[in-house]
Amino acid sequence: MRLQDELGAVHRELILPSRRDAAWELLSDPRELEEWLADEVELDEVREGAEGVLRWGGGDECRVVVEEVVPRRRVAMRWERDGGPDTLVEVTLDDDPAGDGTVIRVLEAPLTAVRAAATTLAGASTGGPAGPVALAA
Amino acid sequence: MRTAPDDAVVGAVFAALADPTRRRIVGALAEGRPVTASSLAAELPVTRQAVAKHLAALRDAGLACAESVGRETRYRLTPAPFAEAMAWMAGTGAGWDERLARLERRLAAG
Repeated sequence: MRLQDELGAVHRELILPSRRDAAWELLSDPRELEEWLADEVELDEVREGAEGVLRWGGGDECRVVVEEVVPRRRVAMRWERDGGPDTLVEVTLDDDPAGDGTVIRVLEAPLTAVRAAATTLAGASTGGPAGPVALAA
Repeated sequence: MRTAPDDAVVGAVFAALADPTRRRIVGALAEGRPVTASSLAAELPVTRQAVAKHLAALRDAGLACAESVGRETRYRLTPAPFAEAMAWMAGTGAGWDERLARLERRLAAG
């Protein structure tokens, strides 16, 4: 069962056919987010602390809080919705070592799972928490 | 598009699975054979007390249930919460597949 291996997180990875600057544009501009992330993006700016709403066709919507922005590299958000658990969403960009493309990685995990993992790892890890775990700690 | 599983249930499942020992206990329970705290302690590198604590946590979260057979307390998984968690995984994954396909098309269109 996959979810046992991955702390209940949904992971996706894809190579985008463009360089990182172009990909970052689509990740960091709310108007561009409206082209792919959600049908309606109510968010002034992709910056830490910004809050807004994402809406999809069919009436789905969630509140979004931007937790971390590392230019050209990473956006972490908290998504809070009524129809499911609150989640941490992380989108990371990397240069594709094999070509001119950009590797995009997505992680979405319930906050309860992220926090529980942080508690579990706190004693075991010598390097300290990283990534989503550090965010929730 | 999205299924609407119970927030707390999905959270409880994933919180339970975040602990490696509990993950192994859930794995053993998932095999469907009758499991006791002693039999689990015999196959895992933890004490019977630690196993009992994890089993109690799983039961409190509604992820396992116990029945008394003679002098033994046997545990088994309650499948419903795991089914909800899997539904959440599937729905969330499908949502990202769709979003990333849109992103790819957007970039290809230049």
